[in-house]
This record gives sequence, C-alpha cells and structure tokens, in this order.
Amino acid sequence: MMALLPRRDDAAALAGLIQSCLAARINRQVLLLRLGALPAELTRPHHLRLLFAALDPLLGADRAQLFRIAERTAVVVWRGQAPERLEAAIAGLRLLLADMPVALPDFSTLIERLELPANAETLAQVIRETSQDAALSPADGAAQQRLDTRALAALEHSLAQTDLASFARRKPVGAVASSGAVRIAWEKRFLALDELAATMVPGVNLRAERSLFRRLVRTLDRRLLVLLAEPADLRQSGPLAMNMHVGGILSAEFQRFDAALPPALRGQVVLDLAAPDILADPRGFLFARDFARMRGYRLGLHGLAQPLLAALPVSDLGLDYVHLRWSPEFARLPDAGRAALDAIGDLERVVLASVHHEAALEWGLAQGIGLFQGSLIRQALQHGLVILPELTPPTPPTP
Amino acid sequence: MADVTVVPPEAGRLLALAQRAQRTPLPRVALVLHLSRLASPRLAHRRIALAVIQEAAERLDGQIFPLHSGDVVLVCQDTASDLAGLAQTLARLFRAATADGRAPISIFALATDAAALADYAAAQAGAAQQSLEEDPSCPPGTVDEIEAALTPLPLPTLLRRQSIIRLLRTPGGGRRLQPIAHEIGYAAAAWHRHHPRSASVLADPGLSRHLGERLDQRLLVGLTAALGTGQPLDAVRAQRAGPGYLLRMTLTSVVSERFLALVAACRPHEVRLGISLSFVDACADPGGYARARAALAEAGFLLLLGAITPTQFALTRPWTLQPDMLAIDLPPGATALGGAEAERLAQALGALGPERVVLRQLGSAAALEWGLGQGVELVQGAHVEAMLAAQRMQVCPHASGCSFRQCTDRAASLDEAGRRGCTNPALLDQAGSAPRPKGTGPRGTTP
Repeated sequence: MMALLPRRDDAAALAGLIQSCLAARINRQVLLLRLGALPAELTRPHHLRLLFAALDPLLGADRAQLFRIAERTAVVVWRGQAPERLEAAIAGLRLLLADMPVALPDFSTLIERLELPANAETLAQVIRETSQDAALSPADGAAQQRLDTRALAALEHSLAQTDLASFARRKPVGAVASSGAVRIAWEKRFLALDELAATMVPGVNLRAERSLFRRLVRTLDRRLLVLLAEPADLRQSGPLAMNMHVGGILSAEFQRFDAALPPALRGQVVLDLAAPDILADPRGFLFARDFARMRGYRLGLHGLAQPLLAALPVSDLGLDYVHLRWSPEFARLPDAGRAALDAIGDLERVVLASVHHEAALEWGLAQGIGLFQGSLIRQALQHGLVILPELTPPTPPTP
Repeated sequence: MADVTVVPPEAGRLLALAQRAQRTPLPRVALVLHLSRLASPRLAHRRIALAVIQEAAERLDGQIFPLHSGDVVLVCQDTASDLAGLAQTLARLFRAATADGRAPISIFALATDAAALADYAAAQAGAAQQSLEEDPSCPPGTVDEIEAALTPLPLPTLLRRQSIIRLLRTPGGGRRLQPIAHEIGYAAAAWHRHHPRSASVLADPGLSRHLGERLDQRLLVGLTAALGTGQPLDAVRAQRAGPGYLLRMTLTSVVSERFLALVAACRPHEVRLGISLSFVDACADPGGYARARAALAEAGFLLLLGAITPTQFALTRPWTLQPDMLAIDLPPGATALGGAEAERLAQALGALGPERVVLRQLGSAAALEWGLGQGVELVQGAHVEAMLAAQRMQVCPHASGCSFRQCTDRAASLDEAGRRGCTNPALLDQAGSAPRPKGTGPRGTTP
C-alpha cells in the first residue's frame, strides 16, 4: 500500500531525476496527479490513499518510480511507452470518482501527461508550487496548529480508546543480490502516524513540537507492541522490524510480546532504536540491549543523520544494523558517502534507506551494501522485478 | 510489652530454609541476584530478572525468594552447567547497572555454605522495602500546571549560578583560581517545592524538554529586560564585574525570535554571552544544532556542549560536533571517571585542548586532583564553589559575620533576597580581577 503522506525527500529525489534527465538528455514519461482541486469531502486520508493506489498498475512499467511530493500531489516517472498500464491507472481513477454525490472538477485538471526532459521546467515549477503550498496551506505542515499539551492529552485519550489495527502498516527491507534479484529481508511494522493524527486530532502538526512528538512516539511504540503480540498476527508473520525506544524494550508490553513470539520468529525480529533515545538513557540502553540480545532480538539504529556518524561511533554501540539515509550528495561527492560508510564500518550492517530511485540503489550496490529500503524496493518486490540485471557504475539513469 | 520483630515473609522463609540446611545438608544451591546493588534500580530490572529466573526455576526445580531489598534468590538443584549458564547470563545483563563494581551474583551451596546463607537471610530480614514504581506516566497538562505555579515567582529566584574556573599553578607551587564563566540556569531540582508532580515531568524526557523550552522563553525575556539595569541578572553588570554569563538553554530556544531579540539587545552593550546546550539535544536535532551553532557564531557567542554523563561519554565522541567548549560530568560522589570514560576524556583533551574541556560536578578535592592529573584545567562543581568561597572569605573584610555556607549560597543566587546579608556583593561576582580565557574557541569568543 502506498504511503499516505508526502515525503520531503521525494520532492528532492524528483528534482534530482529532472536534473539528471536534463543533463544526460534522458527520455522519461511522466504522469502528474494533482488532487488539490477535489472537494474537501473527497480528500480525507482514506480517499487519498485509494486514489493514489489507483496508480499502482503504472508502477509496473519499466523503471517506474513514484514521487509523492505533496499531500495531494504525486508524480510517476517511467521509461518507454506503457499504454496499457497508463490506461489501467487512468481508468482506475475514473472509476473511483464516478458517481460521486458532489460536484467534481473536470477530470483533465486532475491528471497531466508530461515528458522529460521536454517538460522539465513545468515539473520543476510543480515542485516549487507544492513546497510553497506546504508552507501556506492550513492542511499542510507549517501553518497547521502545533502540537501542544492539550492536543497531546486529547490524542493520548483517543489512542487509549481506539483499536489501532487499521493504522498498522508494513514496508519491506529488501536484500538485493548482485544478480539484481530482490527478496524481502524483513518487513518494518509501524503505525501510520499522520493518518492517526488526521483522524484523531485533525489540523495538528505532530512534528512541530519535537519534544512532545517524542513522548507521543514512545506511547505509540508500546501500542504497536500490543498490536503485534496478537498470536494470529505473529503466526502469519515473517521476519519483522519495528522502531522501539529503550523504555519500550524494558516494558511489560514487550515482555508480553516476547512471550507470544513463536519459536520460528525468535532471532528474526529487529528492534530499531533512535540515537536520542539511546543517549537519553544510556544505562537503560546497555541493559535493554543485553536483554534483547539474550532473547534473540537483533538491534538496529534508525534516523541517524549523517553529521552524527562521527559523534556516535556505531561500532561501539554493539548493534547489528544501521539505517543510513540515502543522500544525492553520495553520488555527487563520493567522499561524503564513503566517509559515512567508513564511520559505520561493517557494510553488512548498513541498510540504505530512502532508496526511491536508481541512483541510490546503484550507489549502494557499488559500495557493497546489500540491504535497502524505499519505494524502489517496494515496487520491485510488488512486481517481482529483478531491478538491476547487472551492476552499473553510479551514474545518472541510463536513457 | 515484648519486642516483636516482623520478619518479611520471603526473607523468613529463606532463613528457615538455610537454618534447616545447617542441620541437614541439602544437595541444592542458592543463587542470589543482588538487585539492591544497582546504581539506579528500576522496576524493569526486577521484572526482567524475575522472568529470567522463573524460566530457570522451571528447568531446575527451583524456588524463588523475591526479597524486600530487591534481591532475588533462586534455590534450586545443583546442576552445575545450567546454574553456571544462568549466573553468566545474569552477570552479563546486570554488569553495567551495578553501582560499585561488586559482582551482582552470589552462589551458596547449601551443603557447605548454609551458615553464610543464613547470615545473608538474617541481614535481609531487616532490610527496608525497596520502593520501585513503573516509569510514571505523567499527564501532558502537568507541564502547564508547573509553568503556572512558577509564573508568579520572580525569575531570579528560579535560577542558580555556578562558576567555571581555570586552575592556574603559581610560581610558589600553589594554585590560583581564575573564573572563566558564571553558568546560570533553572534549578529544576527545586521545582518540587512549587509543584508536587514536577518529578514526574522531569522523569519524562519529552515533557521535561518541552517545559524547559517554555521556561527558556521567560528567561530570554528576563535577560533582555535586565540588560543595563544593574540587577544581578544583568549580563552587562556580570561582564563588567566578572567573567560573564554562560546560559544553560534548550536548543530550540537558541533559534527562537526571543533569542534573536536578546542578541540584538546585547550588541550595543558589547555583551557576549556563552550558551550551554545539551549534547542529547544536539543529537536529537542535528539540523537544529547546526542552525544554533551558526546563529551563535553570528552573534559572537560561545557554544558549550554539556550535560554529558559518563555513560553517554563512553559511547560517543561529542567533540566531533565542533563546539567551542565541551563539559563532561563526573558521576555524583565519584572521584574519577572509569577506564572507557577516562580514555574518551584524553581524546577530547587531545582534540580540543585543555582550555576548552570542562570537568563538571567535582564534589571533592580527590576528584579535583584526579582531573588535574588527567590534564584538565577547567573545572566546575560543589568543590569549586567551596574553594571560591574559602578564597572570598580569606580576603573579605566583612567575612567574620558570615558562615561558609552563607557565602556559597549567596554566590549561587541571582536574587537580591538570596544575596541579602552580604556586604561585599562585588566580591561574590569576582569583581575586577577576572582575566579572559585564552583561545576558548575557533572563533575566539569568550563568555
């Protein structure tokens, strides 16, 4: 299932792809989907999720990539012609909007067919507009109400009385062999935080107050544990991962999850910790780490920004995995990427995250990384693709 | 009336078992997990220990005695390999949490050590009940309540001041104290006087940070308003009289509008402040840290990265975040850092130089000597405050009317009422004789 909310790095990744196409005269087909003109009744989270999911057939096209650049704007880029897939996607959208009891804008205002590099400026303008919209629109980011103690209390109250199963999501971490074959290494389980907020405290920007957001995340970690401890879920589950704070590993909820874990999954669960949580309670971390290891869990570090790699030597933390977020800088400035990997040390520990286009994957494979996370991997797994028949040097996408 | 001693039931049962074993040796062993020896015992320690021991008890036909002190005793079959495995597991699990380096595990063979176990059980019978609670879940609204409780109080009464000094060797082999900065910040530990649930907010990293951010806005307004007024909170007065202020602040406050207003208000007075930020804050928001660092450089203010506990220090290399100064805490009551932390200290001193590394929370002369032995020059803590008070009382003509405690308390206060009784306030601020630190940072700024 497609992510509901826009990702800032999607806009950056699309901008990077446009530049690559311009620089190397690479041809790509583009479908731009703008749902901003739809009436408010049709842009609730579940509507948007369904409408964007209609694009799925197109993601099977050659080198197709999806960029969710704003809450209501998505761009699909692919190579070559794929008329059946394009038609299927458009038909799906039409079907979803047919017979709606509200007045709709003309369908042609919602979708636009473009080409790269010919329409590079148009697409760049869309990115600029959507980033401005994000700053101005009350529905998006900055202009939303900031999370405060009152909203947090209301949200916690709602959370305590709500079954969160419908907000549970998964995204794969793929192991990519040198042949290009991809298999799921494990699935990251998480709660769709922004959908949750849109339902329970609409109009509140959860991330605007970092300190309160941190408290909320800790609460949700424990709720996720309760959800995952359902025997039916665990029986059907393959290897999985979840973000977890130190206190969460030491909680009664974790003990119940641990007790419910089937023997086949023992050793197949990764607990991803965040650096600030480790540092906020380093003694607790050491205890939780040793306890988790004793019970057969593997441990990862997520959300580690590049500037922190030197300050937090991961080799000293005794962790199994480190999520390194892909940055276009890695391809432009090879030393930056190499320095990041050197700081981590063992490449088998690295999960390259935010792999949304080929440049990221090619760079990672060229460095010897084997684990990847991002929309490109998700699409490859969904469509059973061999994503790189042969390893190519880290250059812009081939025409 | 007869003197009745109530023996806690588990300790009583263990004592009875040990006494029985003294009469009739039993082929069993007792494994004691000394949770009472942990530096900061938590309910999670006990819960996890009990779960691990319970599993072993089922395998080894064992009986568990959870004692009031927090210790947990497993009496079970003497199956050497299983028991050794359990002991090893528990020792590994609790090694980092043990306070004094003593082994967290003891093993008594009931056939030979029954008397020793009986002594232990008898001692445990008198132990106080260890009070452990689940991490308190504090309602977010408590932050509003605490802020409301503190708002009517004058800002200076909520703040405390502590000095950072450089220790200089004099030609005669003595030592001279050179003040480097007066660090000021909220005295969070004293908030429980104003709100009974402040401890639960402080125990919640998210809420306590949020409260700190809100209170910092008041501090910024208060500091801006005090500039040039001659009050103790006046940074102009502080800079003219002594080494100037180092403000302990949250990261987000340093990139706020009110901080920019303070910077603008300082400029005409040529006041240069220092800002002390938490290392954990910097790691939680590296982008914000980069912006704060740039903003401070632009303002000509010094950046100190601190609130680094020894365990954090052993896991990290905070000097790579390129602060102007770095401050490392000694553990409360400690006289030295452990091996890994001491090694990191040497690396920090090598990377930044002794003029940019502060050793904090020095509580004794022994701790001071240890720091000096490591090459540290800049120090802070209760012992430093005591040395400064002793120095003041030596030269102050009015000292005969004051106690040592009064002199340290007044120096820590930024409130006129808190300083009342001192007839030589200029000396409290190290008037006149404060040389500037040499090269405190790449930008050459000083607080």
